[in-house]
Amino acid sequence: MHNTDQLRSDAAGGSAGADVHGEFRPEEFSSGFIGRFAYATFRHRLPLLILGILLTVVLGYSALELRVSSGFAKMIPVNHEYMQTFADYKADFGGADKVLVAIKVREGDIYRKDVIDVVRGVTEELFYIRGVERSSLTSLVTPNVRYNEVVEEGFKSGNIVPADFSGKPEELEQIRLNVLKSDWVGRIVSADMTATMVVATLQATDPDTGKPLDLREVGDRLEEIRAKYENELVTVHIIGFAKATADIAAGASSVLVFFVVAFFITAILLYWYSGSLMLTSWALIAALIPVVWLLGILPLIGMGLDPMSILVPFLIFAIGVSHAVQMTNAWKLETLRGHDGVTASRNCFLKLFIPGATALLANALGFMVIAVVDIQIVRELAYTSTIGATVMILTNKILLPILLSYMKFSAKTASKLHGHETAGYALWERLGVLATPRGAVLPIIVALALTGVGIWKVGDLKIGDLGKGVPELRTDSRYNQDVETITSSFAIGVDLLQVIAEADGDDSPCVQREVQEKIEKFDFEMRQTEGVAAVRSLASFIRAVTQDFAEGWYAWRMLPESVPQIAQGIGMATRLGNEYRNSKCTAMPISIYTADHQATTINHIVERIKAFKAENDTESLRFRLASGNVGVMAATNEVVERSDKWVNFTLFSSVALLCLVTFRSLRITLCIIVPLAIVTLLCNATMAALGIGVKVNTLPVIAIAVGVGVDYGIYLFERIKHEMHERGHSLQEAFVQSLKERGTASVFTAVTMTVSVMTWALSTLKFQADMGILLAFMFMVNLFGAILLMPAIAAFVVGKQQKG
Amino acid sequence: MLKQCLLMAACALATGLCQAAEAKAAPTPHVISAQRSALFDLVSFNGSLFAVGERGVVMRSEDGGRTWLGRQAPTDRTLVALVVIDKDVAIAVGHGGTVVRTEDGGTTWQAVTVEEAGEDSLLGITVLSDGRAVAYGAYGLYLESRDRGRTWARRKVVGEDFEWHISGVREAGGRLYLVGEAGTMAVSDDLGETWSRLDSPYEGSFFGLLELRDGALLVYGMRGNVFRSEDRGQSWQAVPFDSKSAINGGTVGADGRVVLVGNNGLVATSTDGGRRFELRVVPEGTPLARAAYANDGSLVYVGYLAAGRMTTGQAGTDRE
Repeated sequence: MHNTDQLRSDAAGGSAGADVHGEFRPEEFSSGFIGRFAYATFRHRLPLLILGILLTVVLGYSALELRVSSGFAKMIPVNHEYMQTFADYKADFGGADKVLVAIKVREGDIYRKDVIDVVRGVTEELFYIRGVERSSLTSLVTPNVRYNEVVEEGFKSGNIVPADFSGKPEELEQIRLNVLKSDWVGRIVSADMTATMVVATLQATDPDTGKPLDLREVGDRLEEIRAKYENELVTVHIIGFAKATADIAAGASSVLVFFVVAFFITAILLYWYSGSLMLTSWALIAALIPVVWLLGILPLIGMGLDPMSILVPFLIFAIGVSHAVQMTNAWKLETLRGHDGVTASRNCFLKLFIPGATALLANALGFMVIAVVDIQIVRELAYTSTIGATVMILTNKILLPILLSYMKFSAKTASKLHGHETAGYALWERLGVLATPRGAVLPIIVALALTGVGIWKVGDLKIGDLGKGVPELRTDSRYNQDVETITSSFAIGVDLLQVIAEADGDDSPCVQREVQEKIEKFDFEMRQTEGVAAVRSLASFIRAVTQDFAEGWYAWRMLPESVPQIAQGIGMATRLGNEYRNSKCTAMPISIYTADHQATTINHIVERIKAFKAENDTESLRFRLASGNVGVMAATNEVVERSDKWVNFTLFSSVALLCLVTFRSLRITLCIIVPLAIVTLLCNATMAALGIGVKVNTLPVIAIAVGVGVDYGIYLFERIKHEMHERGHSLQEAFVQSLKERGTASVFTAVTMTVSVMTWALSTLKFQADMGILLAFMFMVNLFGAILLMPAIAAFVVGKQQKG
Repeated sequence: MLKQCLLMAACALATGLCQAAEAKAAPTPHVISAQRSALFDLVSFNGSLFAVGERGVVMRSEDGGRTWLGRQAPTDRTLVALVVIDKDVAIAVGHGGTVVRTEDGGTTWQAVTVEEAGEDSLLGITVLSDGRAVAYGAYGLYLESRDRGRTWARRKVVGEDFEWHISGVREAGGRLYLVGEAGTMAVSDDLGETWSRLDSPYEGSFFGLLELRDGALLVYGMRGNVFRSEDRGQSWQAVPFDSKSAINGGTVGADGRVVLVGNNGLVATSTDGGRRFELRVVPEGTPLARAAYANDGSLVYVGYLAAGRMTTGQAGTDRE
């Protein structure tokens, strides 16, 4: 191991030291791989440059084709057991994709002609929205909403709002009485009679084109309905996945603003740092090129950009800046030492290609690892960012040095910059003490203390969503306010977990008493479970029908003994469409409305259901998890929880492996990995402290941050190792030297990226704000880990070994 | 050495991460909530309030209905009625011919097999002055027990071909009254040996009857029908009642106040011996089964996913 290291370093070092101008001769590039590669690159630099420019133009043109895409199916972990249930019964019980439009009066109650007219208007408008399942439309004025009354002669039933409604006061009074007789109070009429709802289910695909339904289009149409009907009389509140998606997409479009802000912040910082307009421009251009390539490649491989991964180009830009800064900074130092542009470029290439490409590979690996999460939307994010990081090896490590090789400083700039290259050296000299066993004690104690705090705090880390409403949007967003209004006005919430009771048998097995008895038991146990707000099942519906058939006497609210009586109840259920059973009556959904969709609530309920299944599932009757939006969340949480460990494990093993391959040293690898692991732990602890749960949106953060954070370690250690082996420096001297060459650029990069992602905290999208805060934390603390803790660990792990 | 230490530290860190992620809330023991159960009767027994309901649920409250502790008697059927024999023994009956008994003041319950009931529903139970217990219900089912509910015998009542549901049997002033489906109204002067029909003021179904403090009788039933008799059931006067909800159950308090409860959360109270009723609705809005005054004067009610307290004279409730 030692020998090969020595050889490679010799080769690279030897050529870096030589002073050659203009001409390229193979012997100057050494015989190592990197030398030959650099020779080939620089020999063909003009064709390569032209090729790069052409590619950028072509991909830039292709990027114009890029579409923002989003869809319900992408958000769900389709391969999860629960989602199999969801898929099996989607046709029978409809998708989970509902639209709820609540019409709330500003004062008085809903029994006014103009309010009923609004309900009718909204119902009709919804009917014509493309993608609305028309038979699912439910409101006071639709024919599927009826009342049922027990009278001496038997039953009396009818539509709640008569078809010939003309708005007379006695008709309004009749509607009020009909509503009270129906079981729709709390469902489409609020208990206090101040609000009523129009509900519809959306189809997954556009009926005309067969393509996934454009939820943003649906969202826009819903917003038009709101604009049309909200007035001084009523307020209109709209919730549902389509509306949430549309609102999130609208928020995501403001990402462009953040991009522009980040661009200018970076430009200003870069100019301040480099002192050269030319270098600033090239760094920015070099950071933009991979973004253009990425956006151009996506349409070519048939991918769109999801609102969630719309942040990826932004991230690629930030990483691009980071690497461009290393390159331009090195080029500046070389030039100021008196080399011309070409030589400076070539030297930079030789010095930085290995650590840079390694770091980018680490980034790409980090991003790729996220794909273990079996959710389409997360995979797209993984693929998108992996492509971005990979193309950067070409654009930043090859194209940028070629570009720089054609540049030179004007005499004026050069004289201005001279003398400034040692800025910060005093600080780096002082930090050198950290790389000695005595100096290392303090950072290691601090790190151990922080690790202790981290382990203590991380116990509070939760999986899934912690707030109410849609977690992607802020609590005070219109959408989440609408959620609050609707859930407080209507008894039945929006958070629904459906369990499907599946019975075997050819001839309507649902009429068997033992089947219904088991469902009744399940219904009862679910009602007794904390976090459950209400349960609807065929068994309890049959009990209510039985009471009605017994002239309304409550003592008869029970599951009848005989099949004909049970069948009578089920017969009544068929009038409600497929709410309680499928047409063959082999599958019966039990709807469990939960108090909220916090992960702890969902976990508790799901655990209870699993315990019930373990005791009660038989060959012929099974209770299957799960459908409904909470079913999707439960599945997502389980996938995220399972993946969380995998992501961390795979991430650290692959990054460690990469370090091992690069440095051929277990000790150096340890020095780089341990600070990263501590920072990751602290990030988890910070999430727990800030009330941010591990979810689809935050899972990639750690992978991204570790991928980016490993850069610092790789850049610094590559130099430390070189200095120690090549020049026989002690660890302390090598560390200081490494900081002088690369530390400033690393600090600058960390600051730039942190400031850029910090601006996300102002986003209208909650998840973007969360990601911004966490990424900023990770970027900054990873830097501290690399320049403060890494040398301290190295002092014990590497220093002695090298001396001995 | 140091290398090993650091490796160990890294491993400890990694396992710490994993353990933290795996730490989950332990499942809480199964607690039965009164407010989330279908309850059908409410009775004071052994110094506590007892309620029975679906799936053999027996709820017990030591604090006048503020808090409840639940358990399940050995049946999955719905218990509809509960009667107290003495301070230790009580009997509950329900659907599917179910009879359960306690001999230890309501702590443990045992199932009693009643072959003759078959799977017919028992809808009520009462204790006669001679100590016999009478359970009654669907299709003219009428059972007697002379040993405090251990064994039961079925007998025919009202007439040979009588098959209507019996909803109420009550001894008052030495006579045994019986009401039921389709205006059924009968009386027995020998505690159930022989029966004669009474002229019914109503052809719809009755759901129960009460003996008032002054000896008058009150019957109630579907669609808000209430009738009062001051002449031992010979004639009946309709009581004005401003609701069309079914009246499911009633009680008479120690001070003579009458409480009837019904569907849609209906609570009707009378302080003038059942001549006029004041109507209120509980927030649950679901069918109520029975309500009774607690020692502190509050009204305690139970019903479908409902159990609460109503402060007398106020429409509000103070559920806990």
